[in-house]
Amino acid sequence: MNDHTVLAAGGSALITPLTGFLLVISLCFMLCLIAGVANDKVADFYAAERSLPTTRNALALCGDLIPATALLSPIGTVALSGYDGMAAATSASAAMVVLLVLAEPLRNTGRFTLGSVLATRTSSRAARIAGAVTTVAVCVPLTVVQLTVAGEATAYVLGSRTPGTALACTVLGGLLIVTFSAFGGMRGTSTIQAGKALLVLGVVTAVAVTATAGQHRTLTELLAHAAAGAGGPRLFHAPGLRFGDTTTGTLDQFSLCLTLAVGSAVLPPLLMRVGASVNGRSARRAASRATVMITLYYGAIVLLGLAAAAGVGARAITADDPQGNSALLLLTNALAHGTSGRILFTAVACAVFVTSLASVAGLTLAGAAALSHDVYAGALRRGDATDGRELAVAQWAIVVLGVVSVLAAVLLHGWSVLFLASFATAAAASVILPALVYTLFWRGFSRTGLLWTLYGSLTCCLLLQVFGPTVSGQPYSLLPGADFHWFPLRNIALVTVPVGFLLGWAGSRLRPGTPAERTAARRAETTMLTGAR
Amino acid sequence: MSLFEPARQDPPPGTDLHGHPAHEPLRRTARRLRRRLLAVNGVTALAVFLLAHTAKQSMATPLLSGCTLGMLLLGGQAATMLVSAVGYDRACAARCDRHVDAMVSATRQHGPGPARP
Repeated sequence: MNDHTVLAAGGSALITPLTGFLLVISLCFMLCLIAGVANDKVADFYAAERSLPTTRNALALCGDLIPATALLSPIGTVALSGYDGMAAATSASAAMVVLLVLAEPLRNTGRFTLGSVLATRTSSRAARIAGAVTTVAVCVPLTVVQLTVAGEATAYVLGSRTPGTALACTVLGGLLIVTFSAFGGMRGTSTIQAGKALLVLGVVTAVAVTATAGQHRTLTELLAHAAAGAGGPRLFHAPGLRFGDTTTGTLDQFSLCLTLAVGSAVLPPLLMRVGASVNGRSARRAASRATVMITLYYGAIVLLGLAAAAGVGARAITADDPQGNSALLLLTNALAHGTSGRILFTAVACAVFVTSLASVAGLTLAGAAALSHDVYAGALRRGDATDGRELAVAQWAIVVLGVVSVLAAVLLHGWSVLFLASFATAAAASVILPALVYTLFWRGFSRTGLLWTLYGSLTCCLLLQVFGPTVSGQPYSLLPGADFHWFPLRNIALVTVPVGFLLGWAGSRLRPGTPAERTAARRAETTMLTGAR
Repeated sequence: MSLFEPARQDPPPGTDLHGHPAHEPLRRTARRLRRRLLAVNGVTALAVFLLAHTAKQSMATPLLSGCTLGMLLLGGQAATMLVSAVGYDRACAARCDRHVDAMVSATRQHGPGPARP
């Protein structure tokens, strides 16, 4: 049980944290409702009429890149694994460089769902459907992970660690979030994402300043204390603490860094966010500014991880949560006391909740956009769907995806969801990235290459993940009692990313595009360069 | 749906942007800048990773204000990302955007066209 909880114990005067927490939830809901009032057209709902200014879109991009797992997990990873955690944080910030390269041509296509971008060079329904399948395959697992983390974190700040409380928080939180995104659309989620980015950056800075100034430590002392609780400086500050000092461990670390650097950059909510920019230049500038913000954010995260290792200790962090996801909350508990401590803890709790809310909202919106815009309006109705009809389908799709994700989170409650997070990010890196890169930059990419990349790479990801250690054979596996794994790496991107690119190339070489496809590719190339049509 | 599925139109006569004089220079410049950005960051990341995993114990050597060699290398990688990202945006603004403007002007001069990018 933590000292600071949002709920008061025994009738004390600690109602301010609960009031603050509920106030933030109410404010988020109000913002979504207000922003969503104007969402009576598809243009508003999906892309906020492409009216989002550069800086706000940069903040929202930053927000999109900070799901709950990127707020809680890296701090614990740095606290427990030292150098390996810092390397992972650096790789995560590199995702913005990848998005920076893609942002302008992506926005210039004038499209905002993966399926419609991929269909730029081919008018086939198969491309749209494949894009929608990929989007849902990435978004739903990530939504389940975010809901699980949000439920456990909310139960933690409410002061109860019973499984029933976490489950109830997961269900109620999930239903609340689904309501937010169904009403708010892109405008609402952008507002929440931008506000979330400011809140998270502010909270992280405040905790970092409190952690370093309050304990009057120099950097040298901080690093020494951090290492002391994790096996000493020779282990803590050298690579190998996370996955082991073996060849497999080194490959796993490289694979993780690759996943974080390229997979995080092409998640469907980010692609939609880019589509909401005013134009290609604005998208590029927003990505450039977001790169600066994200790099500074992860710098602060590393500092917090070191402070957690120094102030709380690796043993205490592991005892509370073996994955280290409660390190931020434990650190906040340890830092300050009295009124300032309650305010800081409340701020952290609000930041965690709003982060989860915004992430899930973005994921469900992206998934719903794929189903309504690509499958219903694009493939089934062949472009002949009214705005009102498409909007209704989108809102129902958000509800369905949200409910399915909540049910999945309930079913998997108490089980390890590591495999879901690994699969979804690896799938983004191995399926979406090759398809996007070839579509945007390679003239010779054909319809066959596209379908081989999407379905072939997705199948490869699924196989390697199911037969890897995150599903069976290890204590952290989904099924720790079973062992049918033959793939040795937890992070599969090292194999699946090259497979994705290879399949796209091979398919395009074996079945080059038709003359009509080549003409479309030529025209699309000009569009992606200039935005002119 | 038209706002989001820009209707494919045949360009007005004389405005095949693919044949516009600025098209090829724009394509080459954009490609060069992209490759430079990716190469700088890719090489830096790979170098840091290989160095860290071949000279593992050296990474724990304290150097500056207690910061270890490993931390300084990662800090250098982050600084490279920051500088290269800002530099890429500025280079695109200086070298690519004028070509884009020239080509967009060409579509406008030849009659009503689709919405300006």
